[in-house]
Amino acid sequence: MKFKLLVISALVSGLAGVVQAAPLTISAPWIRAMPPNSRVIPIFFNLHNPSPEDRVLTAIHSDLGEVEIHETVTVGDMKKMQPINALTIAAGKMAALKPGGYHGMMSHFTLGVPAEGEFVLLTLRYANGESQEVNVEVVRREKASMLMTNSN
Amino acid sequence: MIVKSIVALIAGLLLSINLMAGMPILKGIGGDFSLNSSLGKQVNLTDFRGQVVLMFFGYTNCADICPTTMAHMSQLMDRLEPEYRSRVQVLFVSIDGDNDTPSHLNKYLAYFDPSFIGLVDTRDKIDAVAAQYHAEYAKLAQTKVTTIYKKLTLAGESTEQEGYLFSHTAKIYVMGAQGRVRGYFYMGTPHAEMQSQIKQLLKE
Repeated sequence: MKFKLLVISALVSGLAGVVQAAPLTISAPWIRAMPPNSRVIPIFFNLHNPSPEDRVLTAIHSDLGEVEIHETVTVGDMKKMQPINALTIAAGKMAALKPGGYHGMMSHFTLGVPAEGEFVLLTLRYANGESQEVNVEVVRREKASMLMTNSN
Repeated sequence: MIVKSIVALIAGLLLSINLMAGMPILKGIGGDFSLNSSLGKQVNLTDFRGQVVLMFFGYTNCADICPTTMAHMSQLMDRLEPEYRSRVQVLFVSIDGDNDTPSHLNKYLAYFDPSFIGLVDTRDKIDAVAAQYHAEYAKLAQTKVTTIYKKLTLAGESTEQEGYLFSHTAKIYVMGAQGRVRGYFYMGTPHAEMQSQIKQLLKE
């Protein structure tokens, strides 16, 4: 089975002339609605990698502000959020960006803090040079809490 | 059969003792304090006698833990019946007095719930309260701070104090009607559990 897949993908690559990895699936994206005077907003989504190769998310881009990939770390009773350079999504696995874990941190808003109900277009960039876009809604309260429960 | 019912009886007793003891007074931690606030005036812990106080140490330039905790508490307030809600006070103690002014805190917290009060004061006073509550916090080393955080400062400030990622105690201190620390909630504590503990504390 695996061999067949390899043969097929080799054929497809041969035909296309470039090696194109399968795209990652983005699910349950949301941005927490934050106060209008907030200087930061968090971005969450699940990234599923159906391909047989590890994929590495290296950047999240938006025209509406600067975005860093962060990780919340617990040390004893303390929590801290720190930037990471890359997030690896192993072959066939899913990486979750969720409250209390990995998340995107957006700041320096070009058009102010995105309000509840608005959409923010993000470009996810990978180490292999590929990128994909996702339009993420800004939500608060019930919806956000529901998603949080699901991700727990 | 008899053994079974004895076991059940003991289990029941233990459960009720456990529920009654739900939140014992924690000794050696907490105490009264007076800090400047988002209300534009000094706030004393004694102002909230007869209420359950939920207190959290954080900062508004925090993207994950603090807003997640504030949203969790805002949802808790929505779930509480009005007679209980009016007897619960959320306090957000800012560990970032350089950037969290009383008016900034006021606008920020009102978005989550208009009843939330922000406390911010001189570094010494905040440190004293943090010590009283055994709440650790630390500014992370400059070297670990990224460019974005370095730029997240108020205009006109020297570059010296830039970069302020904090690590901090992420628990919510639960204080009973007498202002004593009774335990902790976390951002993942289920709302139903928080509600039942709060109601029990308010019945004392």
